[in-house]
Formats: sequence, structure tokens, C-alpha cells
Amino acid sequence: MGKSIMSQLYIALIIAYKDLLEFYRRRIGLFVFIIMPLLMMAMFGYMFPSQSAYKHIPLALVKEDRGSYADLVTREFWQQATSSGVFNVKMYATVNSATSQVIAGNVRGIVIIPRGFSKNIVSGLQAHVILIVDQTSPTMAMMVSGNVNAIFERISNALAIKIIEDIAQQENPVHIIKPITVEQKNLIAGLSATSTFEYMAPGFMAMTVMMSGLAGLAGAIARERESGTLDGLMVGPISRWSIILGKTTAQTVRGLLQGFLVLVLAMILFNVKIYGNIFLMILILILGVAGFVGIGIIATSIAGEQESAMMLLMLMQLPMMFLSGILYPIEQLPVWLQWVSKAMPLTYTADALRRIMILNVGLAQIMPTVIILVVFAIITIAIAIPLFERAVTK
Amino acid sequence: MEYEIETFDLTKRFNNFLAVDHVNLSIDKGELFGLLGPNGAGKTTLFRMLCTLLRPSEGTAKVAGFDILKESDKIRDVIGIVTEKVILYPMLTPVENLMFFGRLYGLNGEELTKSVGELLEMVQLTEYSNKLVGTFSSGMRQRLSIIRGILHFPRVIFLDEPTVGLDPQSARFIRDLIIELNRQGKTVILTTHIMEEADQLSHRVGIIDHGRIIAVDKPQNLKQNLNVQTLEDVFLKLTGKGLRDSVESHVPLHTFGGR
Repeated sequence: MGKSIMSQLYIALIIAYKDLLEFYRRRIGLFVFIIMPLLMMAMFGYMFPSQSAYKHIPLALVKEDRGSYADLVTREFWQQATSSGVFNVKMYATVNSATSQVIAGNVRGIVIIPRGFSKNIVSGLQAHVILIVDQTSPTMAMMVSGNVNAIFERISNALAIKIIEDIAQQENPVHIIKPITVEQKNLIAGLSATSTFEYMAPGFMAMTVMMSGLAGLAGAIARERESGTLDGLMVGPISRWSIILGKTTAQTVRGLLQGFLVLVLAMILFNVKIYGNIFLMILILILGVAGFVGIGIIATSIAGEQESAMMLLMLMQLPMMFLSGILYPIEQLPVWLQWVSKAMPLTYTADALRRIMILNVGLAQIMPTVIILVVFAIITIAIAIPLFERAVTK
Repeated sequence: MEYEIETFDLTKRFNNFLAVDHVNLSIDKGELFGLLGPNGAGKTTLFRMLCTLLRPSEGTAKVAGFDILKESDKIRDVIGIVTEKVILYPMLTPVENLMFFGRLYGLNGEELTKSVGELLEMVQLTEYSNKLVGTFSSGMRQRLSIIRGILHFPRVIFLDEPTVGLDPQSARFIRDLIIELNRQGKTVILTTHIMEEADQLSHRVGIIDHGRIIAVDKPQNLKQNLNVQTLEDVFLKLTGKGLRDSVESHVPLHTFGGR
């Protein structure tokens, strides 16, 4: 029996085909395979608020002042708040009645136009609007406060223009009120501000490919070991490399299919767009998987049976999910956690994939990431192969 | 003369547990050798070391003239194994299973297809050749498992409890198959708990207990020497009547319970 590279590759392909055929025939596995990405996208996609995430937030408005400016501002606020669809505004006669509604959980905030509001404006003083937010939910409080502030910013600006026109007879009062404005432009023409989904989709894709590859590989080896079929492979005249390569190939193909399923779902359901090269994406994903293969084999070799291997992998999966910059930028983390993040291959894969997908970068620009992934893969596989060999022939 | 299998102080330790203790055994070419022993006596460990599935802690062995430590690759080319846990993929059909294993041994094309067909015919599974193995009865699986083990025309066949849990019809069928394979010149090593089976099939039996071979001879001679009627009497006389409760906890899990 020749042990040439070609024959080893041929054997690996046969094993990969066999594994994929088995996977295809396991109906439950196939079902989970499709449902998982859908669930993931839906669950995490809506976890973080975006401008459009909150609609029709119930808000109380109490107008204590009876002056003409109070009337004007109230009318303007009502109009802007409801027309944008962000708030459902309801008038309350007193602050007390509005407060009881907040406590009862019926409204999320109170905007009060206090007594003396109009008088202050007329007398050339700064007038205040009071905002009380429901503090039981910090995200909601932030949303309410942000939106109310934005509306009053606009009303305040409009009012300022009018006042300056009146007193200074200026033709262009905007340059006095707001001499500097920021104009935002994008690197890619046609790409408006990146949505949360566009930020998360590449990371999710990377995570799906890797986790499915990782769990799949550990599961496939452990299952063969427990059912006894691994003996059949080990006693055959084939190299350990062929077995590992074959199993890895099968799991990579499976992972890639699932990853692209995530992407397609994200494109259809959440309007995510790709601006980059799809082949470069595949390359990065395969490199990412290679980095995980070693980890998967190490876990299976140490754990021995399927259940323990899965538990070990779960232990790794959670921090990877939350610390790899998939859900939020890693800059948000304290420095020591950023270091943990930098030790995980998923961080690099997700980042490179995001830059390919959104910024259409080429291979040259992501070379450092590619090198890190290759080094990571070589190190982990070098540790994994002897461990695997020992675990199965001890 | 050159033996087909020869062990030299073959020893396996799991932590502090001595599973196989300096075993010296030789099996002739073309012999059908029965390996008997109570649970936990070391049968499976010895078996797995000879199949190159387990590395010995001490000593070595030769199978078909090759050293199990240095030439395990060559041994794997010429042996076939059939274990109690059948080596078959339940989600594949018999044909897919046999084609898969055949290709691992470098067989392919017309030759492989033909021999798969003939083997299925031999174990009367042709009509089920496109059903998933997962739906098979244990007798059908074991028949298939045996032809899987001999698909690549091995010189030496290791059978670990091939008839366990089978109905008398299937067990008889498999015994006849073993005799036939041996008649074709293959060396067969059979482990079993069924004494009649060992008595009926084996040219010689070896009894292993506490990791040591305590008797090797023809079944007839063993019975005569101890002046008893059956091989079971021989076995109980040599290994005692005490129950063997074997706890696997001293064996690391990643040996898959093999001792």
C-alpha cells in the first residue's frame, strides 16, 4: 500500500465523503443545521438597539406653563415625536398622574414643560424642559433620553434662528448658532451607515463556520470512537493524517455551507449587503477553521468521550462568542479582556471577514491577519496530532 | 519454524493495573486459536495490542512476521478485525460501508464492486444491500461485520466475541463462516465466552487470567489432563468459580474500555 501524499489525500477525501453522507442522512442534524443560524441571527440581531429598533415608545407630556412659547414648543414636540414614529405621546394634566403611569409601567418617560418656560424665553433667559425617564431599563432610558434630546435640539435650533433674525437682522443666522457642522462620507460609495446586522453578520458567519466545524469534528471523532468504528479506521493501512484531514474537510465543508446560509439569511431578512470578494471570504474562513481544528482535536483527545468533549468545547464557545468582537467592538472591553480577545483566532477571522465584506479590502491589506491565523493553525495542529495519536493507541 | 503470531513478554499496564502480564504465546500459521478468560482477565487488551490498536507498556510481539512496535503499518495491511461492537456505519447501506472500507485498503473499481457483491451473497444480505445498516438486526450486522473484516483478504483474522447476543441460527452461520475462513488458510484468533464454541472451533485454546496465560493446549488435552467432561469445567477449574466483577474505572477512558 503506497503511502504517497496523493494516496493519503485520496483516503482523506473518501473519509470526508463518508462523513458528509452520514451527516446528510441524519435528519435531526440537518434540521438543527438550518434552524441554528436563523435563531442566532434573530436572537443577537435584535439584542442591541439601533435607531429603528424602538418604535412607539409610550411617553407622557405635561404642560404646566400656559404661555405662548409653551404652546408652540408642545405642538412642535408632539408633531416631531409622533411623526417619526419613535414615541406615542400622551398628555397628562399633572406630573403626579404622569409619574404614576411610569411606576405602573405604562409610559417610559415624562417630558415636562414647567411653569415659567415662556416667560424665561421672552425675558431672554434660558428655558428648561424637564425629562424624567423610567430607570428600570438602562437601554430604554438611553433611547428615550437620546430621542427627546434630539427633538429639543432641533426645536431649540429653529427657535434660535427665529430669535436671532428678530434681534440681529442677520441674513444667515445659522452660521452664528452652528458655525461648524460635520458631514459624514463613506469609504464605499452607496454604503450608508453600517447597520448592527451588517456589523454582526461577518462575525456570525465566522463563528458559525468555526463552531460548527469545531463541535462537528469533536463530535464526529468521539462518535466513531464510542461506536467502535474508529477501530476500523485505525486498524486500516492508512495514516492518522488522512483520518484527521478527511474529518476536518467534511466539517469545513459543512461549516462553510452553514456559514453561507447565515449570510444569505442575513441578506434576505436584514438587508445585509456584501461589497467584497467572496473567494477571499472563503479563504479567510478556511484559515479560521484550520485554527480551530487543532483545538477541536486537542479537546477530543483530552476529554475521551463525546459528552466531556462537548462540555469542554462549550466552555470555549461562550467566551469566544462574547469576546471576539462579534457582537460589539472589543475596544469596549477592559484592557485585560482585550488581551484575551486577541488570543482567540475568531477575533481575527471575524475582523478580516468584516473588512472584506464591508470595506472590500484585498488580500494584501489583511495579510497580518492571515499570517496570525496560519501560525495559530500550525501551532495547535502540531500539538494536536501527537495527542490524538496517544489518545487512540494508549 | 516461523509462527504467524508470537509474543515476547508482552505487557500492558494502565496506571497501576497490570492488564497483561508478560505474555509469551505463539500461534501457528493457519491455526484457529481460541483465547478464553473471565471478564477483565486481559483478553481484549492482548487482542488490541496484537491489532496495533494499543501500545504495549513492555515487551513486543510479531504478527505475520512484523513487529507490532516498529512495523505496525505492515501489520495493518494483512490483518482483519471483527469486534463485538460492530465496525459499521449505521447511516450507510451495506454496500456503502463495504465500499468505504474496501477503498481504505486500496481496493477499487470493478474488482471491489464484484467482491462486495460476492461477499454479500455469501452472508445472504444481497436483498438488503441498499437498506441502512442502522435498521438491521444484530445477527445481520454481525454477518456484515465479518465480511467487512475480511474484505481485503487478510492473512490473520482477529474475532472478538463475534457471536455474542446472537440467536442460535445466526451464531451457527457465523461459526460455519469462521471454519470456512480458516479452511482457506487464514489464521484466526477468536475470543469468546461461549465454551462450546471455543471447544468446537479451536485447534488450541489459551486461557488467560489476571493478565497471564495459565494454560495453552488442545481442548481435548486440557479436558483429559484435568479429567473433566467439558471445556467449561476446565475453565472453571483453572480460573475458579468466584464472580469477576470488573470495574473499568482504573482504565483511562480514552482506551475505550479496552483491556
